[in-house]
Amino acid sequence: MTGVIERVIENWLNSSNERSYQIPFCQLLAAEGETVVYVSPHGPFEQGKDVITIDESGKPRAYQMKSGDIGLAEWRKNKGEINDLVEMPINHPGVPTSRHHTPYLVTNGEIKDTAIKAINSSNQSWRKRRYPALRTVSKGQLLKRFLAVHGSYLPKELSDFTLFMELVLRGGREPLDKDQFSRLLESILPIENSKTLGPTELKRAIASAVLVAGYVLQQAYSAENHWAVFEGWTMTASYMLAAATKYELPTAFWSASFELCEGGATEALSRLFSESETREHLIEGDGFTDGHFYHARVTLVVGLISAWDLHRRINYPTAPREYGVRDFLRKWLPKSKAWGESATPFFVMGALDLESFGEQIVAESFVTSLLGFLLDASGKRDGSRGLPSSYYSPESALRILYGLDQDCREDFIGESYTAYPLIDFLVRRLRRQALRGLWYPITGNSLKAFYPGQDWEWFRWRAKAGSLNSRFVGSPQSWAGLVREVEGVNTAVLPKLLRERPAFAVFFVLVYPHRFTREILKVIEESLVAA
Amino acid sequence: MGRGIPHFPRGAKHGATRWAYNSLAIMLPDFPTSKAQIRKHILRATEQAERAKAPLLAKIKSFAQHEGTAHSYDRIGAKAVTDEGFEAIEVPITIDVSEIPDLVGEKLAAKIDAVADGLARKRMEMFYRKMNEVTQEVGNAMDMKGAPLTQNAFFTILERVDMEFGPDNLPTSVWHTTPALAEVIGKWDDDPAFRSRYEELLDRKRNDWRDRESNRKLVE
Repeated sequence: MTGVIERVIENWLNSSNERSYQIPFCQLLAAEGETVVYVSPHGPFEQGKDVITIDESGKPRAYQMKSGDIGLAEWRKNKGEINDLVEMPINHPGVPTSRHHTPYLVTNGEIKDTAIKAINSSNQSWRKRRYPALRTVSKGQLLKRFLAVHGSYLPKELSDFTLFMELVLRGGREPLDKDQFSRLLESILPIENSKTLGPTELKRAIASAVLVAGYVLQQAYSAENHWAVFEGWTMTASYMLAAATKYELPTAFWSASFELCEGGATEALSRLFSESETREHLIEGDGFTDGHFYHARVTLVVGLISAWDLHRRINYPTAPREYGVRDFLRKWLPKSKAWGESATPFFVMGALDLESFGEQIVAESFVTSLLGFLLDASGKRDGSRGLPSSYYSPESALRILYGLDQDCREDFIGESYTAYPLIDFLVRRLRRQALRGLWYPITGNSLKAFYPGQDWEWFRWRAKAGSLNSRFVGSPQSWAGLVREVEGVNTAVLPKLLRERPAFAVFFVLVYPHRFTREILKVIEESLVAA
Repeated sequence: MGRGIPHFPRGAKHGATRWAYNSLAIMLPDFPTSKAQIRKHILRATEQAERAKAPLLAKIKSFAQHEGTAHSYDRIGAKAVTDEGFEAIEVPITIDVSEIPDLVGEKLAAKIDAVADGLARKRMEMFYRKMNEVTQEVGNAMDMKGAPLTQNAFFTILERVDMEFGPDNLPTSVWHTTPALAEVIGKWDDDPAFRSRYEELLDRKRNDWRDRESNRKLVE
């Protein structure tokens, strides 16, 4: 199997661009003992440095990442950036200014003899001027180092390896298969392992999860499928929180890997915004059939971009706002449509973001309309089956709607998984009149929410233990009592690592819409109020 | 490749259902993808047949629980409950090896029917057992101790339950009785005194229902 794994990694390295192997490379450095302090979002302030780390002796290192072979022509073309890499000091609060950094040029291709000669000659010149010499890392070294770090954690069982290969070979334009991806992560991270594992073993498993996720997401990176990349990194980060919660790992053991994944998810959304902002329409792929999926795509894009903006707002409350996002939401939020209850978190993120731009009335109206729409769909008594629950992805819900999936026998009438958080949203904004108008259909629904049995299982795609709670609201219900109930929503039921990361929770509910409960929404809203 | 291939141990009689699974890489031509598709069709046909055999259950709202094993829910007039774990319903199916080559068409349909029959029976048994438990618990059960059902007892039962009404002002409730009991109740329908008492009860139940409906609101 080792030979096959080696070929898989080599193939991945060959077909990666500098963006798609950036996170796995950072994870490699972290696993080798370096502390990653900066990962470039490829903005204008890179100064030739894509990744900055501190090595074990406390000395800073700066890496510039390239893809493909580097010959004399490529060397000359990039010489300006490489001069910046070597000569310009690192300007980052996490890096000591007293020591000059060691510069590295990294490529997943070969560095040709002509380029090596040019590098040697440049190094002589830099040394004379008291700059450190440029070091290089090419494909062969990368491959060796990736294989060494994986240790025994790459999928080795035939079934796991088959799963891994299926995901690696999946078309990059397809949505992420979260069911398969979660099974792969569970085969790498020993979250169900009964034997006691040492922190070092767990740390290596976490590092492997990042690398494997990098391999799996490569096709999505190539296709610029930002949604799949976002979901992949968010899910990998969630599984790290699962392992960290289950084994009560010290933060230092997993935070670097977690931050890389969260950074990967954030960057994917940033790119999605850059791409969407400039487009006149959001049509994609085969136009003849796109009408079936168009409005769902609008909802997805609106929710994802809102989540990106909210994430930034929670983490950097004083940073200037991106008013392009507001204009984008104004344009597209009214055109979004729900495919099922898994669309609710996307709408809510859109509403929360719009609200953060001061458009409260519009935001509240959206949520009121959405709640009305959900109740209308679940209250039908005409033989239809209602809106698919939060457990159905956009594609699976639309397949049911268009009769492409004959196997689903579930009936969704008279129940709702996401009505409660929407009611809470409106109560917190004192939208009594809006709720009064909707209370009759609300009382006809069984309001459901699933609570995993153990904290770590919150981060799992499907929890094994836990309870599905079905409740009816009061009829009659006093407004004062409702306000008290909403104020008393107990966020302590959420795992600590999620409560402490409200910005990540914004991503989490879009990828795990079945975990979009009253408690998570409260945590997100409270953090936005604080921001 | 060898896993999952039926293989008869040397000396085993064909016709026995004792299959062993060969771990050696030996197999005859097979068509697993298409067979998996046919299995799906069979499952669907079984469920349809089961619904036809237990129409009462087909009318009851059901839902799927996608994760976890516990379910807690509210009840009217009783405390909320938490059910731990699921109860499995199993129907053993025996297929003789000699049957396999011709297990298509009508013969397969007969097997499906037998499975559906077993499933429907077991689910109905579970339904009666559960109904018995919950009606006892909330005080809606009435034991006639072998005596025939009287009109008074019938009205006592009706008094205890909430009724819902449709747009035509008629009750939407479904009454489930034995055929013998249905015949008795059907005969009472011709009795003017019974009819009048029943209409009077319906009027009250209708008012109660309207009260409940008008209470489905957000108040001060």
